Amino acid sequence: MSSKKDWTDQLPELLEGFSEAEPEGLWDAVRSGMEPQKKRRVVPVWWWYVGGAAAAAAAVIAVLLLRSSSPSAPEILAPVPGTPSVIADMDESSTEVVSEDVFVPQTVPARHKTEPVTEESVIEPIEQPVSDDNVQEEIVPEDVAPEETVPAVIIPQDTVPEEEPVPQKDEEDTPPPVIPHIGTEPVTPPVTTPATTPATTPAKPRHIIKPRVQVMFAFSPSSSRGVSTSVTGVGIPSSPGMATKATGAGADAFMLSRNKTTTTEATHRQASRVSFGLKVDLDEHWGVETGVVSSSLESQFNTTGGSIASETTRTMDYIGIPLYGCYNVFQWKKLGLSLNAGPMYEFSVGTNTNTESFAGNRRTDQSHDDTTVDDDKWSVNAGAALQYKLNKHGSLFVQPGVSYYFKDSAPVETIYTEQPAAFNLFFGYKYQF
Amino acid sequence: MEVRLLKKPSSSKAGNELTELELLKLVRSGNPSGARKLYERYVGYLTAVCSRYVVDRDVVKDILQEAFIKIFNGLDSFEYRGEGSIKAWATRIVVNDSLKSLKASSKLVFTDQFPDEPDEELPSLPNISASAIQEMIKALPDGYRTVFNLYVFEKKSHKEIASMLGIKEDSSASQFFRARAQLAKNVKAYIKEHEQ
Repeated sequence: MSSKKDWTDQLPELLEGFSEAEPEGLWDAVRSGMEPQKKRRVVPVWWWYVGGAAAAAAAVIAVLLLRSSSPSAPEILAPVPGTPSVIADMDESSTEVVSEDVFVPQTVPARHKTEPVTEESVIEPIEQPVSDDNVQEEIVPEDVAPEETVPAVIIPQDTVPEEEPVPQKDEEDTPPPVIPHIGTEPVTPPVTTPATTPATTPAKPRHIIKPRVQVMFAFSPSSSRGVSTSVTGVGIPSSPGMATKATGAGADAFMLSRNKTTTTEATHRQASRVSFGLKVDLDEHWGVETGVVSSSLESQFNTTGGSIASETTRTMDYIGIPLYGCYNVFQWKKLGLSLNAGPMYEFSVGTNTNTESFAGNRRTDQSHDDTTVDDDKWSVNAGAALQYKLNKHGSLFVQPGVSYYFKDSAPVETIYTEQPAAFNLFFGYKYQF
Repeated sequence: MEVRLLKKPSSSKAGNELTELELLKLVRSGNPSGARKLYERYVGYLTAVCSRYVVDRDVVKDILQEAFIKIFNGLDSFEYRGEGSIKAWATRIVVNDSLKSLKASSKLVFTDQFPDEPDEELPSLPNISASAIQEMIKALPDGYRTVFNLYVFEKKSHKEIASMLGIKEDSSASQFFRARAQLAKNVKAYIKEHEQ
């Protein structure tokens, strides 16, 4: 092959040191362009996503907590003999007297202490299944029977004094305690209703479910082996994953010599993940889980063509917001098994590309690019978490799971696009409130 | 064995001109004169580079403004690879921004229909000033000029140019040869004019 020199080859040398007068006012424009960037605190877009998701998750959890906690009785109650007692059923909006006893906190000497009857001290019958972890004992008189109940005593709330003396046993003419109105029935003037059946028999425990909130931190390592693809063509731009925004207009990829047949091998590795989650148990078995999942994807592109080569390593970071349904299968001693499944939305928050070019053994160029690729993904995930309870609050867990990423018009090739179905393994710690 | 092209940082060149490494350290140290010195070092060269792609002076100013902001923002993470690496990196930024601007302005039209004229040839580049040849390159049509610059000054292959500009490889080659012929014709005319 002839190495005939063309006259145009002399032009770069001729113009190497050539300068032109700078445009007028350029320095001032550059300086003014730099100042706002330094002064203005730019909040990355993905922070808004995370903030919104966290707010939404907090709102959902708050609603669930409120709905779950309001009907339950938080205190252990004991009967005070000789006094009419009332049970208010919030759901049915009715109030029923079930015994002569007034339920007051057990820690308080019932006969000599004034105790306001509040909403929290009103007991609601619960029919939900129970578990050992999330129940509280409640004392209910054994002899309470439906036929023994009498119409409710309904009193306007604004007529209830701050504190109502609990009647003494020997005060025969003392009126019964005033019960605040909870339901939605029409308000009627205070009416005293004598109880029909004395209730002095011992009470037996009853279970009430409390909502459980768990905070989880988990890590899933990346796989050591990745999915590899190979493409042969003329020139670098045909290389998979390279003609993307991630490579910074692709300029660095074009540094190899001209018209060489090149082969590019792309290797995509499974993401390493760190997740922070919140789980709320709705009942004994079912719950919901959300949180934030940070994933880091790595892709390696090795291009060779004769004596020239380039190596590009690209790391893409994603933030994901999962929303999973959970099912607690069993809890046996310290071991427990739960399943979860649901969708997750992920969006990229940063891309880091490093490219090195070689001619023979000599490195001829190196470039670095931090351009963020605008990419988002939807996936469905499922997992089974086996947990070991360390103490009352803490548990260690291991969770094998599977993910499937839906096809989309992704601007880049990653493990998500090349291997949409993937296995992952989380190790983590749960703290239960 | 991998041979690194890192050059040993040399002390200041003859005179008081700082090396690129010294300039880089000055900018990274937060010295307010560092950015200004870096700017003054390269603004003339980068203006010439940008002007070879974009003729409109106002657009050149906009491109250079954005490019210098990128350069200053990127210096913290820039990996110094020897004398000349900052200049090469800054040039790549300016060229990429120029191409983006040309594409965005829709001025970049590549025609495959050329006037039926004999191709002009030059045996070698005659003795001609850099400013004269620069003006002749700037006078080429946008499509010719862009391909010519990428091929001659940025050392891109036609395959690469085709990919960068979204055209066929053959189109890139024909644009280049037309540009080369027109430039040769203009150089000949210039020489002839100045001999008289």
